[in-house]
Amino acid sequence: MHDEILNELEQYLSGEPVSRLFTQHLKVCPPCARETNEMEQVSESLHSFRLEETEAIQPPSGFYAKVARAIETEQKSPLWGLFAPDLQFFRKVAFASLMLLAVLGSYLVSRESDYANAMALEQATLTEHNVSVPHDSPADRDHILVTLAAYEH
Amino acid sequence: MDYQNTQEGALVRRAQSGDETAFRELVEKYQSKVFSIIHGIVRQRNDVEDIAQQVFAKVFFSIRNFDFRSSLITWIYKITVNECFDYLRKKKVRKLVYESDLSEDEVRRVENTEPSVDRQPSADATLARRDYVLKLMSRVSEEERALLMLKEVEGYSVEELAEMMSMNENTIKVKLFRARQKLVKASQRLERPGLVSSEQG
Repeated sequence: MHDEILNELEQYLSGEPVSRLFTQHLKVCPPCARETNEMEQVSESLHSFRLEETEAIQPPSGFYAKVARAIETEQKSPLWGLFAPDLQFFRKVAFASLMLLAVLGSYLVSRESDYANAMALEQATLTEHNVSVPHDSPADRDHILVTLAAYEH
Repeated sequence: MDYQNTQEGALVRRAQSGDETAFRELVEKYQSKVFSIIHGIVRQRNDVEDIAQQVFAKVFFSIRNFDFRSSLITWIYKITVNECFDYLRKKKVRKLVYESDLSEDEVRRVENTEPSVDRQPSADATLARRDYVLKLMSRVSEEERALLMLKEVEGYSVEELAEMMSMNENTIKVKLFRARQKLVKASQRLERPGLVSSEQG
């Protein structure tokens, strides 16, 4: 929709006078004319929510007492705490979330250090055995034979 | 004048701090308006009072969250409109559940025992139109719904709405335009009552 229409659309839909620019544009721009017409129809549909003066209902006397009772009933319901959260409620939620984060964090950190220890141990074992060095040299073979012989004795 | 410093602003602040007398004054000030809004939307006299009670209970429980960015009546208006649409949605679900429990014969019997006035074509057409408008309005957000209602039903101008909501006029115009576009799109998908029958006839 073009600005010429957009600027005065609300006035037009309210039945207020609009500028010549607006009416001229509607004549020469079919897409704007179509969209304005659709909006006019939808706008008219919404008027069905308007009440005639004769249809007006007055609140009965003692209405406030009924409201007070409704409030009292709601207050007794424990679910209200969930559906009408106040600042206090949000503070509690924030505090609980922080606590949960702290617990999870410390758990993860402890797991991480266990893992690091296990890795260090594994590395030490590998270094001790020196698996990266090949053991097929004649000196190594002799060393193994001596070790086995010593073990048998 | 800043809304917080008005007489009503002071009353709201007292209600926010738990003053029951202040809350009672607010209820008594706006109860007629709330009754009218509800009756305009749901059109069921018997249910108006129950919905109004729920509206004021909600106002009581959330008044501490009212931040004076809009006027109190605008805020209550939003709560009321949402409560009405919520009520209509629940009622529709209840009706569907109730009907699904009945056999075909029972449904036919219930339909035949409804007051004859409901079967008159004009009453049917009115109901169909209302149903159509309610469906349209369920396609927009809560904020857009309240804004459209304030403009189309209550007849506030863009200038007044801007003041009530502490926004500038262009923002209100854009918000209304977007809401109207959604309604137009929704109406293209829904069958408009009255048009089909007149075309067929």
